[in-house]
Amino acid sequence: MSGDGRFTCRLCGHEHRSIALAPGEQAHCVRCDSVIATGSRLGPQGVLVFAITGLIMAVPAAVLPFVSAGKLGNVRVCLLFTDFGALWDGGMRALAVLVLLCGGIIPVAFLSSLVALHAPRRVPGFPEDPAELSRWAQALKHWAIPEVLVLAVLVALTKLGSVVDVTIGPGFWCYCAMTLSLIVAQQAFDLKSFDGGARPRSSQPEAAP
Amino acid sequence: MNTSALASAFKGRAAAGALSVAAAVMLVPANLLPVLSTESSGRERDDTIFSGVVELWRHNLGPIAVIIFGASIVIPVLKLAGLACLIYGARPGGRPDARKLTHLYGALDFIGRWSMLDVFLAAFLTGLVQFGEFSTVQARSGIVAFAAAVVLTVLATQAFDPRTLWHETPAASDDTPER
Repeated sequence: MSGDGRFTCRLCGHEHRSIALAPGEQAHCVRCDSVIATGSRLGPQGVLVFAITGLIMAVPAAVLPFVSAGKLGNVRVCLLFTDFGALWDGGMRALAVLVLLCGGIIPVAFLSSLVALHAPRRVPGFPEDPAELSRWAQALKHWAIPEVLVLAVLVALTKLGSVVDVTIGPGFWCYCAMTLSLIVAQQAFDLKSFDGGARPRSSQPEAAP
Repeated sequence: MNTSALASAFKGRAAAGALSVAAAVMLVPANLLPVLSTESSGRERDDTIFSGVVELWRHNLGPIAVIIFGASIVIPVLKLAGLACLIYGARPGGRPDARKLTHLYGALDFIGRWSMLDVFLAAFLTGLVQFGEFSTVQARSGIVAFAAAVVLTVLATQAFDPRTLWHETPAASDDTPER
């Protein structure tokens, strides 16, 4: 939202005046017809709540057993970042770093940026300017893809199910919870900051959200 | 360099085109080289993306084969074709159907991430299946090329500015969003 309360569609650049939306109601751009806002069902603190929940769930997801597999008496317990270590040791370091970033570090950084953006006070270590923070969050959003990792694990478990004994650990469920929190927070964030611009920390936008 | 300056350095039709070409080049080794090597009871087997899909299909894992085929073969190709349409449509002097291409951009922006499925799958299997002489899985160079192709297509989509499709189109007179 620009300073005079007008919204710019990020896809076509058309400016709109702000309108009030009921929960669930969508506003479409008059020029390109893309959805530019949806009335929030979560309330103004929804993003903050889900972002904090995601951050909390990320801790047990990283330290508790993710998946264990057994074959002929050998049992191997994997943590979230075991695949990073295996790829790193196998000489595929660029791939290891990519997996670590997209599956672990960037989702946490994205959730942290959402917390900093929606927290009532400035969070130390993050930019003061909400517009700068919003741009950071937008940039991180494209690379925070824990839901793809969850699907990959489910595919792998289905594939391995007939070959080895597989047990899903609590770390995986915590990771799923983190992923769900991130998706909900991200959707609410998208609908608020569709212009990628600034939003005053203390006030709520007039149009959607 | 702040984020907006960094973003603008990698923005534009030319940057999106260059990144798309690079992605297309990387898709060649990604599909020709093995992505996973499986050793089980002394027998070693290398699989490319396509042979892995065929193998899944043969083992009655049709739904998984379809998911992998879609995420690893169909989506990257569709995404490159879509980017080519966008880049061509946004050429100077072009008269693109801006509304359709904007919807295409939104779709490409959404589906791109799902191509990372095969990268995560290979990484997860490499970490989990390490049973010494009984069974091991190792990632191979094809998956690195595939990951590079996926990253490049995502960067190409980010580099393309959909607002350039609307330069030749007059702005709508109404400024009230439709409900």
